[in-house]
Amino acid sequence: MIELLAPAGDLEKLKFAFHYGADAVYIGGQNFSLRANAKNFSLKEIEEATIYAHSIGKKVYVTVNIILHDEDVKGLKEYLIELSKYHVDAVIVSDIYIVCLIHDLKIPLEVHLSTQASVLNSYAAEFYKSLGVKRIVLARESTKEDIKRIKEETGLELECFVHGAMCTSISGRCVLSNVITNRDANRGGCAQICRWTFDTDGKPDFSMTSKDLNMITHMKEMMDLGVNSFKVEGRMRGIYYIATVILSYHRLIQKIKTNSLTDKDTAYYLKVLNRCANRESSPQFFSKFPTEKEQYFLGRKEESNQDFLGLVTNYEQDAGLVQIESRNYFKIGDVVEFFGPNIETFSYTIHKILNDSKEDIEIVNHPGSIIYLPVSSPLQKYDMMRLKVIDK
Amino acid sequence: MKNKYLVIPNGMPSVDSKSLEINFLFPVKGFCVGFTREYEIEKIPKEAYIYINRILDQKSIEALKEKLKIYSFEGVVFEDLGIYELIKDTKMKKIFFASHASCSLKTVETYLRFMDGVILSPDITEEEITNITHSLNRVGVYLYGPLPYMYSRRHLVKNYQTYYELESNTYLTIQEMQTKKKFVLIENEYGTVVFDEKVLDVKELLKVNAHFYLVNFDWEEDRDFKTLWSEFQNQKNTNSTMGFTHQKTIYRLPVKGGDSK
Repeated sequence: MIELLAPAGDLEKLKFAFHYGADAVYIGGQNFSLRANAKNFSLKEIEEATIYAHSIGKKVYVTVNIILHDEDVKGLKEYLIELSKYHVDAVIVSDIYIVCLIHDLKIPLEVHLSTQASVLNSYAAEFYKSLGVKRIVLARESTKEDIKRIKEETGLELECFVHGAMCTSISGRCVLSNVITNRDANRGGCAQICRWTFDTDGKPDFSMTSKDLNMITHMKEMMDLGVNSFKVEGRMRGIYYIATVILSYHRLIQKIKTNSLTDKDTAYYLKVLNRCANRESSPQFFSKFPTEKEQYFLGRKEESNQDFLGLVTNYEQDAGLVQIESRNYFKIGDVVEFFGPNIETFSYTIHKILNDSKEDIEIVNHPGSIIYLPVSSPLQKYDMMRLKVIDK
Repeated sequence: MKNKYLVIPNGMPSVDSKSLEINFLFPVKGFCVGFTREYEIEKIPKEAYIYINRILDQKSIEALKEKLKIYSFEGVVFEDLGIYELIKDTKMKKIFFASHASCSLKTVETYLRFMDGVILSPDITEEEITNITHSLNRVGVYLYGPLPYMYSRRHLVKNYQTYYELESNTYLTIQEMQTKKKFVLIENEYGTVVFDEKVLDVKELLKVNAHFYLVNFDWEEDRDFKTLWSEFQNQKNTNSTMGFTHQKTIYRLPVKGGDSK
């Protein structure tokens, strides 16, 4: 089983993730989940998300991955039972009490062990397997040898992060946020202190910030090692990021499955992903030990771009007009491209723009504007338009 | 556990632990991070406990397995649950000490199904410690020693020094710019640990009468252990912190007019 697993911070992002090729999403409830300050899902929304996902043959995993303090235990059992009634496909758990509670009470929930539990060897995986855990989300520090051996020795389903931000620590082994900001990192309050800079005594400022993870060049190898689920980080990310990253990995996986992946494809998706992210990335621990080259020292070079120009909201077949909800500035003469899950990405030079009254205009400079472009190739709702900066 | 104290010494002690009614605990070379002194496994007395605080990759845990076929000890204190799986059928006492994962009564109670003892994470308040130690047996409290805040597999010190072409060292002090809080980084080939610059000293917690206490003298100078032990029992370190024992953390930002939990 090969699964592409996407983050979803809310229902809209969940739908985009599925639309763009995710096989499953992971979401957080309003309690017991990391990312405590994100919007997250109410119980009603979890139910709605699960019904929607199942209706299109996809899966929903709910994070219940805080490290409990005594004050957090109240309501936990009832919450888990409630999740089981909604038939969520699994819960992602870190605290051993929650693992055993589900096991002991025979709550019908599949348990996936969170990366916060830092599993790097088959013995630890075997321990959790004995507690009923079905899948291990491996620590991001796993090497290919660790992955191979854990799979061989345990036969467990393995989930690995393939894309997105990295903790500087082994995930779950950090309370710097607690001490600096009083916000508990292991209960969802992480203030990302590892991305701050520090004074040293007369030396250059100290930084421990990690660059992001990007496994696009190692996907085939990971599939061959027996990784089952390929996880993208980023429950706080927007729809353009989710669409771009998920579509890239989805297409790459399809090409690997059909044995049609070329070096040119990999290079192209790497460029697309690098452009979409606002931080540099690398494969981190997979095949070599990260050095100073996998860290930032002079602050983060976050190059925010305005590539996302608009979201397709309708296509008028007869008129050959695409209706777009704009996101960033564009004008006549710009070279853009359209992409979506059911079309081949194609270039387009803007030669005419109509406003919502279908009157000619020269530029679009208000995000959220409804405009029309004459495009002969059919487009679908939720396709996207971006600035063309990369040649395939 | 025979004695109330599990003590990481300030060097290989010449004194017999029995005479002081303590158990020595030795960080094992090659299987620990964040220590200034580590001990070759073959030189550790068999009546002592050994300490393994690394999260172990596959190769390392298999290397440990080979060592433990040859050497046996009174007990093992560890952070990686794979080690439990490795030693569960041996007579060695199994003491689990996760820096940040044993924070609730229910969690600790669950670990105790498998372990002979659990040391509470030093991230919790005195009230929480009191509640847990009064409710459960076989619970240990970290009483004194370096206070770890972060464990990274990366070489954070080496990478920084390489990047700026600075003199190579395995130790670094840094200061957060706004709070002026200082941290000490200690590194070896297996990773970097970020500590509070001050040692934890919460001898006040002796009153909770925990089953046992962990004392870590790794940052103490090389000197007579007996004297150090005597001083430790009679005076508080003047350059110490009480950690989180009186600092309750939050995890959700307060909402106007709402509950902050």
